[in-house]
Amino acid sequence: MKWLYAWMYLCFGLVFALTAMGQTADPTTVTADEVNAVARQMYCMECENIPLDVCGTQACVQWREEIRLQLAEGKTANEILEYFRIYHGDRALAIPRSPWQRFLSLWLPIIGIISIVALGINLLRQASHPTPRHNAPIPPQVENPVSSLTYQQRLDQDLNNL
Amino acid sequence: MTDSPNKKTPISTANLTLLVGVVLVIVAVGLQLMRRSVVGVQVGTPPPPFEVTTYDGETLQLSDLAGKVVLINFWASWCIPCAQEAPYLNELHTDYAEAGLVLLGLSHSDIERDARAFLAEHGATYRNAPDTASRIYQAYGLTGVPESFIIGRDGNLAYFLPGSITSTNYSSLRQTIETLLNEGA
Repeated sequence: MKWLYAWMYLCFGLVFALTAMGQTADPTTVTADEVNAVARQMYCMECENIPLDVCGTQACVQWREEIRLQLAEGKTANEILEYFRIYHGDRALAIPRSPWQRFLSLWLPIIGIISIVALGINLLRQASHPTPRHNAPIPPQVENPVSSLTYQQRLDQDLNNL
Repeated sequence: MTDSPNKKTPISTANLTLLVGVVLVIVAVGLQLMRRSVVGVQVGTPPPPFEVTTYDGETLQLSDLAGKVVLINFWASWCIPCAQEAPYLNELHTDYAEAGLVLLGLSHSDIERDARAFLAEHGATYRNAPDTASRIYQAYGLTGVPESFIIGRDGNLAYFLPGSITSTNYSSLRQTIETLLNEGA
């Protein structure tokens, strides 16, 4: 009887082991989210400015399938991106992979637009309110007798006037 | 002599710097657009040279085909018009290969597995190669697939077909090929 149990455990163990081994190379175990995590770092080559993860063309479908297969083979996201860069060119990635270059490419246009707006506002201000010349006579400041009084004094003054 | 108090002050250094920066950005964008628009090939001029490794493993340079009429067809497995023109290309190869026509298919933005399946499905018997990193696609100034170029025996681009080969343009394409094959034969 003990031998029978031993054989049964061995068989179950083998089945589990084989299943687990099979799963590592099975593309169906790679989820769409895992594929999209890589795909969103790439762009459709045929339709400008559309990331691969949201692109609906047949070309993009085939590319995502390739990503799925490569993930199933155990390749990392960086290895897959590098494959597409070599095989399809830098355009496939579109966004620079270096964080510094990515920062520049994304923020430089925004900084440029802000600069243009600031420049325009500044120029308009200068045109509508010319600054006085430095050697222009400064008018003497006359102290307003009413405004210089404190609130209490003004209140007393008003009450006395009643 | 006194200046008018309303006289406008000259532009400040900060504004001048901003202005120069904006102008530089506009110039850079303009130059980039100009550079993109001049890329490509023109009929009557030699097309950009290239080297490819075909799906059969043969390394091929455009210069190797000098003296022949070369039809370069850009295609992709995901492209429906490319599938529709495949029978015409096969027919051209069958009819004119002996007369000196060389057909070369270049797959664009394709996964190798899909490209090979496409070739097997359509029974392509002529040479085909991947356009690795889309270098040839860019050098020839393509904007999509399919597109075809015919190079004459003199090495100059003789004909450019933007779009697919259809029943409408097929007979004129055959005539063009025959004319080119007869030139200097």
